[in-house]
Amino acid sequence: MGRIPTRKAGASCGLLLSLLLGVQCTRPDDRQGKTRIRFSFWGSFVELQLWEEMKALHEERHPEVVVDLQYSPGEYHRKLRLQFISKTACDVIMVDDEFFPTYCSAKHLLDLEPFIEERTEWLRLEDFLPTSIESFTYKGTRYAMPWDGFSMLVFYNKDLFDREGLPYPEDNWTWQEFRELSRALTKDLDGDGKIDQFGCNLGFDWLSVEPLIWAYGGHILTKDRSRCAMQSPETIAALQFIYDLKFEDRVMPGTGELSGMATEIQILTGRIAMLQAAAYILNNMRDVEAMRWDVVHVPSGPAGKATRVSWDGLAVYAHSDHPREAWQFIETVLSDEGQRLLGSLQRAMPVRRSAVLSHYVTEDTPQKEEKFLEAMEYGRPTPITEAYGEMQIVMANELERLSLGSSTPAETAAALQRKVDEILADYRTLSMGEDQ
Amino acid sequence: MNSRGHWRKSVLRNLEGYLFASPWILGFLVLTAGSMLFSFSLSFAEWDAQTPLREIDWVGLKNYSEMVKDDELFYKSLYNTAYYTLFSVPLRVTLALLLALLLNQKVKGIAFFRTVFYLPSVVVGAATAVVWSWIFNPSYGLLNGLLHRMNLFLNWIHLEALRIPEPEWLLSEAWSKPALILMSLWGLGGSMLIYLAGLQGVPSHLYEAADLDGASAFRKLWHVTIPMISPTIFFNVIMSIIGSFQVFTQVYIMSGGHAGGPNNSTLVYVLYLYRKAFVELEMGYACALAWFLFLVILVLSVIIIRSSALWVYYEGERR
Repeated sequence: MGRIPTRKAGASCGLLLSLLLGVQCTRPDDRQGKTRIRFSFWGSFVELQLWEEMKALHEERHPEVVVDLQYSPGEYHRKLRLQFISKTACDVIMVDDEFFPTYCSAKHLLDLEPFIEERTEWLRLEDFLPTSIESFTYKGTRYAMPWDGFSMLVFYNKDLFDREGLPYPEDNWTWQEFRELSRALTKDLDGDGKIDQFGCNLGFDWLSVEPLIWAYGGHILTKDRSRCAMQSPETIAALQFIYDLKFEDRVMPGTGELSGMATEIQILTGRIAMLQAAAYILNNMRDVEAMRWDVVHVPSGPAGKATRVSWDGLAVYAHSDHPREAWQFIETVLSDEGQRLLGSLQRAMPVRRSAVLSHYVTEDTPQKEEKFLEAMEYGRPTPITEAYGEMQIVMANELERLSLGSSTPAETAAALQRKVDEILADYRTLSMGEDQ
Repeated sequence: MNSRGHWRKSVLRNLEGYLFASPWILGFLVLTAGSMLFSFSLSFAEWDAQTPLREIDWVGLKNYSEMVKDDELFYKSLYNTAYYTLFSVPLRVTLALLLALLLNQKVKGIAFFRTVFYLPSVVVGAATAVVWSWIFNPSYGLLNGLLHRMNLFLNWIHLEALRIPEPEWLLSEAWSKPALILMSLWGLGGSMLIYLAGLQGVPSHLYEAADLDGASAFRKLWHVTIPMISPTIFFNVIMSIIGSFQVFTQVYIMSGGHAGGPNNSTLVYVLYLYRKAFVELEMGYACALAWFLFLVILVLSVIIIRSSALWVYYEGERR
């Protein structure tokens, strides 16, 4: 009693073994001699659907290839780094302009020049939007191809403007006018002594304050990106402007106010009147029926108009077994059909101007998507170096101190100058060591 | 008898013990020991986790000296962790004991109450942290909502002087650590359960004797219960200290990723270690931080274990 009959045990062991082996053998695609490539990417569920459609499109164009999608909704770059360490990264890797130089300097990405040269005519690089190709060029070599990007504009709630009897902002407005409108739009609606409607909400982070700093004539880094350039009267004036919006005018939410509420929700629920945001929130705003809204270009400052553009790219893993097949997947994304898929999704702009004009800008919505294209013309990408990761932490921390009122704009600029210079100096000595 | 024979005999005699401990011993040797050795050697190197290991840069004690000499954040994170430990451990140890005393009463349905108080310890740390970050939300959170209602009531009965502040909790430099400490009390259940087991092991004849001597409830607690469960208290103190020096999950989730904000006020030691390792990719430095933490915990544990002779009473012990 209690003993398992030998035959039965043998049978179940055999079953288990064949199951285990079966998992290894029943990959029909391999049996049919198909090549399997893996593609890693981040994004929302809407984007997951896009890449499923893209996979179908690619497998139709290249029946000999199967694309495995590796979707990481969060912590993408952390996972990617671990994959680099263990040499298990996917053949095609989605990158953004922010960590691109870091990966290039560590030699994780394949030099795409031979492929680009071979397919110059097909690629029609002149159709690509400005700054996109440069954003993925590292020390003169292209290591990734841009596929979509976005610019920043100001979204505003028309209903709130109407209620206050204010004119809608126009494309040639200034930051000063933005400030006056913000004051007029900040209200305590129920009279309980607490403000429930704020004029605006600008982020105290690197990427959000950048357009403002540029509009004031300041810069984050020097032109050759070797030193920090933030300790300048222009940058301090820009930081002072955003500081005053929060602490002097009180036209944007205080530290604890509206917390835990995404800025998109803040504008959708009428808690803020104006929001500087990227094109990709268009997608969420479009179905809203509770309010009327529109977009306008970012205001101008003493040094003119400035906005930020950012790009996403596709790269091939340096140790991929199938570099050519991986490149072909990138070609599918950059093909007219691929770009059309992207354009119809209306998340961010396809990198091809032709696809933006034919599919991103639509006649049947009242909002002016073409403005995002216009902004691409004068928008600038963030100056990014291999030190992005470390710089990002320092910038976040110092700007956070400013947003808490724990430091003044001048102190913030001085601290950033010192700390960012230290980081960049470290990287300079590092790369000098490499050159030797 | 030669020493070899003696040794063999002793192994044979203790074989069962070794067998019982073998899952741990094997796990330690196979899974942990190697990584520990690797991390110890890495702490004398500079490595960004990207370059191949053969090109690693050996820098001797540089990581350790940099840490002690010119790393503000090292001291800040150490301070934050010490602050958290200093308040959270005594609070946890005392409250868990009080709770266990309460739940040790012979009342109808006591099993239900025990379950209710233990339940929070079953919930995953990450889920709890998300819920608590909403409780602490300054504008829409449960806690400030309650405080606000209380203040309105105080206004209404003209006791404005007693108004309680409505802090910005996790968003304020001054309140972020108290918020984390408050939240840590949520997971008292584990310690409480251990106390409860300890309390049930106190022989009832001691209480009967105390009753005959006319001891009050407090005297019985002080002279019978606490000495009898002092080994349990000792265990809970040590485990709480180790746990709070290693606090990570809640802080990581509640302070928004690797930020440790506002203004690094919740940058606890392990969060800083994580930031160095996986955000800044300074693996060598992170390993040095880890070994320093190991040293701190070791020293603290030794101090407490040494001090235990003074305040822990073991019944079977010969004095």
